[in-house]
Amino acid sequence: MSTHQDRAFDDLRNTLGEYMRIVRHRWKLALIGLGLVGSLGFWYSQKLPREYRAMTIFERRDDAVIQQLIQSKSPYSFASLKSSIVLDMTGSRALANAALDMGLLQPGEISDDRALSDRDLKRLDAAIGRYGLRASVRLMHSSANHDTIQLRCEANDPKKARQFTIALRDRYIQDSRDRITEILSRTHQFFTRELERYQKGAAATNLELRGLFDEFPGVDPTDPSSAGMRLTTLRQEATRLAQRQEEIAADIAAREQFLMSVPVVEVESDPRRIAAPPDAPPRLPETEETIRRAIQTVEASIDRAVTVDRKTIEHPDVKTLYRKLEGLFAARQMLRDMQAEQQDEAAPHKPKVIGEEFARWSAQKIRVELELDALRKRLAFVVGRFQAADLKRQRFEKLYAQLLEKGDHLAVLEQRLQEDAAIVTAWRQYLLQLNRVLAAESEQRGTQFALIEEPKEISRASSPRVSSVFAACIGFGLAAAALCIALAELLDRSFRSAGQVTRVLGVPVLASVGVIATPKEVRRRRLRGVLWTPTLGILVVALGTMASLAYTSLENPVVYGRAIAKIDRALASIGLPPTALSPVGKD
Amino acid sequence: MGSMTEVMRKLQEAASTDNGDPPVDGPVPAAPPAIETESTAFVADGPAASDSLHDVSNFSHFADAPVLMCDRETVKWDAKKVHPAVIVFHERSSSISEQYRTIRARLLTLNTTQANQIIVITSAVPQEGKSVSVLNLGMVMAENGEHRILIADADFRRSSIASMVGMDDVPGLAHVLSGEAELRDAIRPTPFPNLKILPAGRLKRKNYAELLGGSLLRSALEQFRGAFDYTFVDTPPITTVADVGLLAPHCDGAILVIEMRRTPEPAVQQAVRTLQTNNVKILGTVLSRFRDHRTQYYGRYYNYY
Repeated sequence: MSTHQDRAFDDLRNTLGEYMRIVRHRWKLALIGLGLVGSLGFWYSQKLPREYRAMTIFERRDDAVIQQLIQSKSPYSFASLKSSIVLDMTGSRALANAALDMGLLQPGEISDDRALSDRDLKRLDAAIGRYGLRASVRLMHSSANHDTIQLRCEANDPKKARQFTIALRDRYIQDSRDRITEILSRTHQFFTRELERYQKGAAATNLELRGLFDEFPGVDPTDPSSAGMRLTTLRQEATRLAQRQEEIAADIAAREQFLMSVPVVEVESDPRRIAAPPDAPPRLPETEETIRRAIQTVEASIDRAVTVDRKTIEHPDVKTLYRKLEGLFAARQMLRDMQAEQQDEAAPHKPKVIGEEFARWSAQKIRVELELDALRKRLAFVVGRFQAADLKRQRFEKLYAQLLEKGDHLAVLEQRLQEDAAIVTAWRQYLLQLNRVLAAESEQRGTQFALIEEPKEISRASSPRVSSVFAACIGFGLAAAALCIALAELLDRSFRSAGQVTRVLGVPVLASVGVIATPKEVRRRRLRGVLWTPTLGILVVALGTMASLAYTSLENPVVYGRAIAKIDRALASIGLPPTALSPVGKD
Repeated sequence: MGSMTEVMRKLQEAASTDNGDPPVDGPVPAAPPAIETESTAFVADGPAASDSLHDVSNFSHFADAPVLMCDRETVKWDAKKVHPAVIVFHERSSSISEQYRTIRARLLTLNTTQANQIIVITSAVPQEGKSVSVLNLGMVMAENGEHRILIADADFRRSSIASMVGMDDVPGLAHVLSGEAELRDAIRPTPFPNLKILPAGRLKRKNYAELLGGSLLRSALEQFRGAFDYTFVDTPPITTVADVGLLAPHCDGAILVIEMRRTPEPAVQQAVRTLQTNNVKILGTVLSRFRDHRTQYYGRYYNYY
């Protein structure tokens, strides 16, 4: 096993040694192949079209309010904008706009439509094709409201690549702002329309719900119990007014009866004989008037508490007022009883009234008549009020019946009204936020674009790469060198080694005698040196020069352009044609 | 230089005393005095390379060497006239000289019977270094003094052996084979007492194939085999002329010189086939102008010695 391995190793070593021997012997030929092909390769690499790349990085921060306002599924959402960023930045329209900005296309040469026609596309391709303009977009970082965008443009002219990058970026930022503003404007209009629609709906519902009880402010149609209490109040009011009416009527009747009982003759013949009235308390009418005013005041308070303040009859204040009212009624009744007793006591004295008494009776009569007149007026007023209250009660009873009948419908209306109110409130909030965003956007404080990296001045070509060019040229040169060696070895029918002689002829080699340095041999060697050295030197210099030019043309086109221009001038001065190398990047 | 001459004389006296053999004429071991004198003079003319064969000290071991040659005569070579490619002459201790010594060792190993041998040095195509190899190989074979060496130039069309060492080409092998000269007259001495050179010679008539096909060739070869331990015959390329096909079958073997990275493989294969067809034993190949980083690597260590 080891023998086989040793033999294999020996074979490998011998093979390598043979190759090395060949290379050592043919190195000049190999250098010629390498020099020629390498120089040609480097020369040709200078004629390869260059590609320059410009890059810019910027970030876009979206307003959180906008994100909340616009659903993610909406074509105007940030997510949609993010998904369409490639098309927005590198689409035909974007390229056309950038070409217009750069002056590659003249205004009017291409339509303003978002979708370009075939004719427009051809013109656009021709315009950007002249400079080999290409663009690509990459999202370096992306989150819900923050994007870091990298835009790269390539062209065969470094300045055009940079201009194209800037134009595409600025266009995109401007278009994005316009688009966002458009989105916000449309959203604002939509919100306004929706708000108006919901407001109208809410107003209609409210009208339908509250219209029944327009004349009864404070009545909640959706609350039958409160309406019932209100009805009870109305009934009590009517009852009270009826009672009041009866009371006044009773007072009137009492006074009319009193007037009927007054002695007519004495009184009419000699008012001085009119007997003085019995010791009636002179202040009773004033007291009753005071009580009456107090009763009116309390009734007004109850009305106000029930209607305006929407207090139920169970409310402590209302109860207190009712108790006060009852007390007043009781006090008035007592006062009336006292007056009746006084009248009863005064009746036995009636026949005694003559002369002076007649005068007193006359005064009494006049007073009673005046009171009677006032009572009648009050009665008329109370009757009017009673009729109004009773009418009101009747209408309310009718509405109450409708309320009970349409209870479910009204509840639905009430719920709808509440919903509409909530929606309106929400839309109002949205609209307020949108107004704030619009204000911010108008001042460029909404969606913000920040430049992270400005496209730099391009000093070197991105394609072809130096490493690729050198690898290709050296590779082809080495391949050519190997080919030269291989061809030379194939075409060389002479013996190159002692082993070959033994193998081919089957004759042993007695010795291998080297080259004897005779003067002739020395001269021949020198002559070969004289011929080979300049040749190889020229090849090496050519290879180095071409490699340097190729490197400079890629790494520093400006310097390369100057160098080529100088070389061309030098060639022209001695009457030679200029180099066929274009001064890349001289522009 | 006087002290060096004194030292050499003492060494030669000691060698003479050790062997006990008096100096004699004829095919007996050559006497060192001639070498001493001429080599010393030659040193004065040649480059001052301490490791060159110009230095008399390099021949000191010849004093007691059993050199059997027909003539002990030696001559001095003008180093300026000796071709620089004769590296064993100019730089005895160079790595390339060592490579030729390696060939020597291989040849001695192959010659197990110790028989005298005639070896043809040839190549597939011209200009591969045959003559250089013959000269250098002959010198390294002769430098230890144990063998009698003859270098014969049979490349009549483009003879170069004589010119490479700066000697006259006439008379040569061609004259011997044509009967115009004696072999003894054609064989030339060298600074090495046990190394002789037989130039090709130039004839007015150019039919060299007839010379090689004649009986005189076999006679000459027999004389070579009898007088020299090793005879190296420089021949023309196999693929260009048919001389080798006439000569090599009468020899004991052939060494094929192949110039690395130049000689086409098919030509060498054809040359091998030609030799094999003529029943010529191919002793081996010598790879000339061999450039190998491995040998260069080893060469570094050679300088250490």
